[in-house]
Amino acid sequence: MRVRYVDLPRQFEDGAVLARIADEFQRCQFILGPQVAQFESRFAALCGTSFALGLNSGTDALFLALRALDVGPGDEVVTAPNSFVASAGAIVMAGAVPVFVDVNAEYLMDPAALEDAITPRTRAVIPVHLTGNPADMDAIAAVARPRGLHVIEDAAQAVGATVDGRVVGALGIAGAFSLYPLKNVGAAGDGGMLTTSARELADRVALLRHHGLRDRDACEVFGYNSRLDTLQAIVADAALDRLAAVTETRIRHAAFYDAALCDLAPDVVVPPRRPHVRQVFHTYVIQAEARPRLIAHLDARGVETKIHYPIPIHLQKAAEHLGYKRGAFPVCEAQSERILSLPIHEHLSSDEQAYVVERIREFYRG
Amino acid sequence: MEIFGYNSRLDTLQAIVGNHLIKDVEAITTARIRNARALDVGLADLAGRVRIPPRDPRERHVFHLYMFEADDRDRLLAHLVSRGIEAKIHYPVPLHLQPASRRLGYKDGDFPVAEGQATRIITLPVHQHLTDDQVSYMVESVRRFYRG
Repeated sequence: MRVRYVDLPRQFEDGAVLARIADEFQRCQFILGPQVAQFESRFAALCGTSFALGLNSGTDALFLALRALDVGPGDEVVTAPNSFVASAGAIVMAGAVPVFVDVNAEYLMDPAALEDAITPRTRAVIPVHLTGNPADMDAIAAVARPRGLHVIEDAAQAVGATVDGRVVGALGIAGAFSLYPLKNVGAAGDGGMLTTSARELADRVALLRHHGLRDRDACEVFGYNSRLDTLQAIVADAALDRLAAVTETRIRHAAFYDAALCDLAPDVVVPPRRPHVRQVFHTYVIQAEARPRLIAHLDARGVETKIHYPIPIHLQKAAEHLGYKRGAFPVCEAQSERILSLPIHEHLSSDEQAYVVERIREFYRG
Repeated sequence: MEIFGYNSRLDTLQAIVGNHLIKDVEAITTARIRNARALDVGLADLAGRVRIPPRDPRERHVFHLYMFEADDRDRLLAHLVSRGIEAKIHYPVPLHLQPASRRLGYKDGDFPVAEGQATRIITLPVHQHLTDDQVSYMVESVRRFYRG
C-alpha cells in the first residue's frame, strides 16, 4: 500500500474551481477583485473578527502586522524557535530582532519562559499555533497585557482552531494566516490573511499592502505590494466551503492515531490534549524513538512522513548573528530530533490509516 | 536556511499565463507601435495645442502607454471620456509631491519639468486589440476638441 503525505490533486478533481477561474478571465479583475472582498468577509466571519485582509502570504501577514503596529528597528519580538522559518523571518523583515523562547510538550510557546525573555526593548509576542493547536493565549496575554506588548497570533497552520469556542485569529491584536497550497484552507499558490478587530490596524494594513495608495492617485505612505491574488481568492474561497468537513475529518483521524498509538509510550509519545481546545491538525506530530530507522521502515512500506521541522530556527545558519547556541532551548531541541509528522490529510482512508498504525506498531513491537 | 529572506515567488499559475503571452510579445509590440504611429501622425498637426514627445529612431519604444501633453488637459480628458474613450493620466501627482514624500523635504517647484508635465499629460488607449476604426475615432475626437 502507498500512503501519501498529502493528496493535493484530489481537492480539484471535480473541476468546480477551474470553472470559476475560467469565469474570472471574462472579467479580468485580477487585482483586488470582488472575489477577494468576498473571501475576506467570509474569513472574518469565520474568525469572528471585524476585518480580514487578503495578502500575498502568511509571512507578509506577520510582517505587515508588525509594520502597521510600528514594530521595527530597535525592537524585540518574542516567538517560538520550532516554527517554520517565516515566523522569525517576518520579524527580521520588519527590522526587529527575533527573541526565542522554549516550547512545552504540545510544541507551543511556554508562557513561563516568555516572561524571562522580555526586555525593555520587547514590543510584541508572536505565539505560533503550531500543528493547528492554539498556544496558551490566556497565559501569554497575562504576561503581555500588563507590559503593553502586542500579541500577534501566528495562525498559519490553525484556521478554525478554537479555545473555549473562541476562534484563533481573534485572540490577539491580529492573526496571521497562510493560504499556502497545503494548508487546511489553501490556494493554488501563495496567499495569506490578516485578521483583526482593530479598525486603525486594518486600515493601515490595507494601505501598506497596496503601495500606500488611499485611492488611485494619492500615496499616503510608501507601502508594499502584497495583495491576495483574485485567482487565489477564488481557490481559497472554494476551500473555505470544505473547511468544516476537512477539520472534522482531520480531528477524527487524529483521535484514531491517538488511541492506536498511546500504548507505544515511551517509544512513541503523543502530545497531551487539552479538552477545551479544538485542534485542527494541519499536521499530526508524534515523537518517535529511533526516528531515522522508523522513517526508513515506513518509507520502505510506502508510508510518506515528514519532519516539521528538523532544524530549530535558532540553530539555522541565518540565525548565527543572533548568538544562540545549541542547548539554549532544550525542549525544542530534543523534540526536533524525535518529531515525526504522519499523514493526516482529509482524503486518507481508514484502511490507509490502519496500515500506517500497523507499520508503526510492528516497528516497535516486532 | 542560509539567510532570513522573503516570500516573493512567481506563482505557477501566473507563470502559465506569462508563458502563454510571451509567445505573442512580438505581435503585441508590433501592434502597439503601429497604433502609436497612427496616433502620432493623426495628432501631428495639432502642434501648439498638443505636444507629442520626440521619437528617437534608434530606440524601439514598446508603448506600454501612449502619452502626450495636451493644452486644457482636464477638459480634453472629460471630452474623450464622454465620447467613450478610456483616456487616463499616468500619473497626476509626481512622487515627490505625494503625501508619503513629505518627510523627504521636497516642495512644489523642485522639478519644474516633471511638475509641468503632470498637469498636461494624458494617456490614450494603445493596446494591441484596437482596430483602425478605433484609432481613427480617437484621433478624430482629439481633433474635434481643439478644432471645434
